[in-house]
Amino acid sequence: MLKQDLLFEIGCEELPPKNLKRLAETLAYNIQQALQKAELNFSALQCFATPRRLAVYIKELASVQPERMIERRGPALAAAFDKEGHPTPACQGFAKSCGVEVDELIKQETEKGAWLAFRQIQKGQNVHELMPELLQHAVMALPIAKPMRWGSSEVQFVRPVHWVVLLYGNEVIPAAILGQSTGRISYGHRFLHPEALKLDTPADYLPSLRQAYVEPDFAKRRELIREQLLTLAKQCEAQVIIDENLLNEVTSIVEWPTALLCNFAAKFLTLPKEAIITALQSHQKCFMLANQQDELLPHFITVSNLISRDVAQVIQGNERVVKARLSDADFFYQTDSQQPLEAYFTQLKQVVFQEKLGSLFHKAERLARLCTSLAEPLQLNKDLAKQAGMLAKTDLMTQMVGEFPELQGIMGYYYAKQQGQPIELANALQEQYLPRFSGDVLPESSLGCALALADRLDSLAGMFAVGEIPTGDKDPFGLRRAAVGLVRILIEKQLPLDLMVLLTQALANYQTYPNLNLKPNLTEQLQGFVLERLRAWYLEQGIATDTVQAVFAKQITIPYDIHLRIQAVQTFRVLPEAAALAAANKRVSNLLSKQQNQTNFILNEALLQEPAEYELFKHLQATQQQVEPLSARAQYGQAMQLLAGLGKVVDEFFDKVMIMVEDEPVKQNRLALLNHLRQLFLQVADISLLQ
Amino acid sequence: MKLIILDRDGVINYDSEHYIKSPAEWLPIPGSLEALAKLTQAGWTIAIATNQSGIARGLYTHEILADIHTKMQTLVVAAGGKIDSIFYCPHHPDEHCHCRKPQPGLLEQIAAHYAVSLAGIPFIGDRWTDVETALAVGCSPILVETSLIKAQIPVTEQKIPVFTNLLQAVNGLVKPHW
Repeated sequence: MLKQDLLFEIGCEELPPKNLKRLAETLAYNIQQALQKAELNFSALQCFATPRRLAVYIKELASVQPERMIERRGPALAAAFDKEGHPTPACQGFAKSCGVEVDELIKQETEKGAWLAFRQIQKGQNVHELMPELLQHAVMALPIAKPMRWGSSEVQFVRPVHWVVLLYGNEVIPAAILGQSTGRISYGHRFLHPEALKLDTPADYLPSLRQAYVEPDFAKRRELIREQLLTLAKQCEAQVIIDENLLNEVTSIVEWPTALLCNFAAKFLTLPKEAIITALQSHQKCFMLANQQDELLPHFITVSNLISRDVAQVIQGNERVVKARLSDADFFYQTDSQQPLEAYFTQLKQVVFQEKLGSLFHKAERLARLCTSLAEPLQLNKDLAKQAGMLAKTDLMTQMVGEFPELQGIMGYYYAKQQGQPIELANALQEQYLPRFSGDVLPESSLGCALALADRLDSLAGMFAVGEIPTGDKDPFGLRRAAVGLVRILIEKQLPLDLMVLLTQALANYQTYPNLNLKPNLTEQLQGFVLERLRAWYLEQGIATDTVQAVFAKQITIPYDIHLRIQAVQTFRVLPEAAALAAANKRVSNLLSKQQNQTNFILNEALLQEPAEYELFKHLQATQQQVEPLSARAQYGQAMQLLAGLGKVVDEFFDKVMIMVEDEPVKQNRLALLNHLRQLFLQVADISLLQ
Repeated sequence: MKLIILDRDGVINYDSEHYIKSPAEWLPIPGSLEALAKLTQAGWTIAIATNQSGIARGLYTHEILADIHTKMQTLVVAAGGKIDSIFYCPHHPDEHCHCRKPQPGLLEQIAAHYAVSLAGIPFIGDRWTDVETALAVGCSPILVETSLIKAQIPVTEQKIPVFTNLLQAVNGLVKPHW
């Protein structure tokens, strides 16, 4: 079968850099899936992405689909022909549905009898017929949030499209894709090689583009930039700070990267490090340089999209822009520094946090109250905790954060430190936003934890109070993330605080708000929401569903306690006794649930008859003595170990002792014994739910 | 002093036929914490009178009951309220003690503790036995309908105020009709 390479390239206006890589990968994935579905074989598939093009190169693509045998089973032979051997209506109907005459149908013999069947060999379609529609669908299925339209056409795409190349071997597959007729003409670098590039075969693609000052391979281009960065850094004996996201972004905005070393005035180094990095990295897409001690140097590297005839001028231009940026930052920093953070209270009062939840100042007051009540369990100074809450949002009013919102918290840290506030407070102002995303680090300091907890509790309570409850995919205020952050801090910082108490406190803050109509079951609703996130968090971490269920069945509202129990159940379930004990618990639970009076089980030692039941009784008594203090001290792992030791006597009991005997008092006593067993396990978790 | 006496199970927290044997099983009825906060903020002193025969039945100990009450008090405080005192009867019904409601013992202990007369003091309960107890010592009974078992009100006693839950009952007390 004939196999040739295929090239598909979409040329367009500059693509959004943040999505470029994903866009190209999705396109390649869509095409790959479609090819597999169409059973068109190929040996390899590669995607290319530059700011002006998305391309997919398919190696050794089969020219036609393989032949396919289509088989359909019709009526049973007995039902297909009447006694005289004439086809029945069922038979005729089937033949008609297959588009053939009755005599073209075949007989199919199976073990269960004979059937009438239809078999046809369908010829495969060829690439020329298949590709246009296949590619069209692959392109349409791209995740584009805001498609554009251009000219007078109805076509939509992420950016206006200028050309589409579709080559199979040395032939163009004619088609209209994204409003362009496919061809063999591509274009090089926008400035360095604006002329058309005529491609004879797909194999010409890479060499032609590289000659036309375009490196189409995303990964190669990225490594090229990295190499240039490292070389320049080496030249001035510094290390370059490479943020991989920034590197990807820069890779997405250049076709022919050229790194240039530039300088800025050393006086700007007095600015907070994060401020310089933010100004240069996220706003100017520059790379920063640091010395061996991780201190910033007054240099930066910019990556230009072309080789300039006058490099000095390019450098000068970049330095001028950066100087302006840093001068602004410096001005903001100096202005902000002139007043204490408390001075921003007036401004906080004018910014609405949420229409019904008051201003940011109201939020600060609520945070202060929550922090104060967290002070005792977290062993904090009450006044400091209150102060942290009051000051938490003040830096949002500073000019610096107004200009660079990414610096929220960070500027709070610098200004608080500068103004002689205790260092714990400064750290807490910065740490309150942690964890920012799933898997992010947690606050290190206790005060930071308190503030981070307070901030999340307040947002959860407030948004639930106004009815902004996340549904489906919609979670505009990031409440799910807030809930996970909340429980992560409680668990990983080993804080045995009760969610019910925390949420009640958070909601109590809103009790007096005039525009809020607090529903009475809001605490329960909130608690359910947070615990549901905790459950999902465990499942994401690969903890077995039944382990989680066994612990959640206890309806505990202290996340850290839940966590300890989860760990205990996890270690328990790998013990050799675990499966039998779980089964025994399930059996007991079933037996007990059928009993009318479940509370009045009274165990009477005198009624124990069989040795095996007396043995179980003795062991239960002994284990209870040891397990109760352990579980009271939350040492569930050890408690479970001890409980696992009951495996043998429990087995023995079920082997030798009949429970549902005629003698009612003896039966009740045995049920009481089993209830005792079950209650003992329930001290830790409901292991009857383990599978 | 404005004193108010409350039953616990079925008024503040969900009652259970299996008894409330641990802090985990103690779950507030929606709105009840808020109701206690309102009472406190309106200047009421809150006392609780509750039958806890589960102790005599061996279902839980005095210590566990104390843990349960710590949880209750913590939540009430978190909501902005305060329970001033808790009086409970640990006996089995068969012991025929003087304190198990409908006997007036618990309410008399409360009267002695605060050195007040019980006359006219509101007592909020969820069962008819609570009403009987209240009437026996001259308290003003109030019923809430959050009971496990719906209270059977005799036809002759139709003037006992009945509210759907504690929050409703408290709203009536905090904002009197005028």
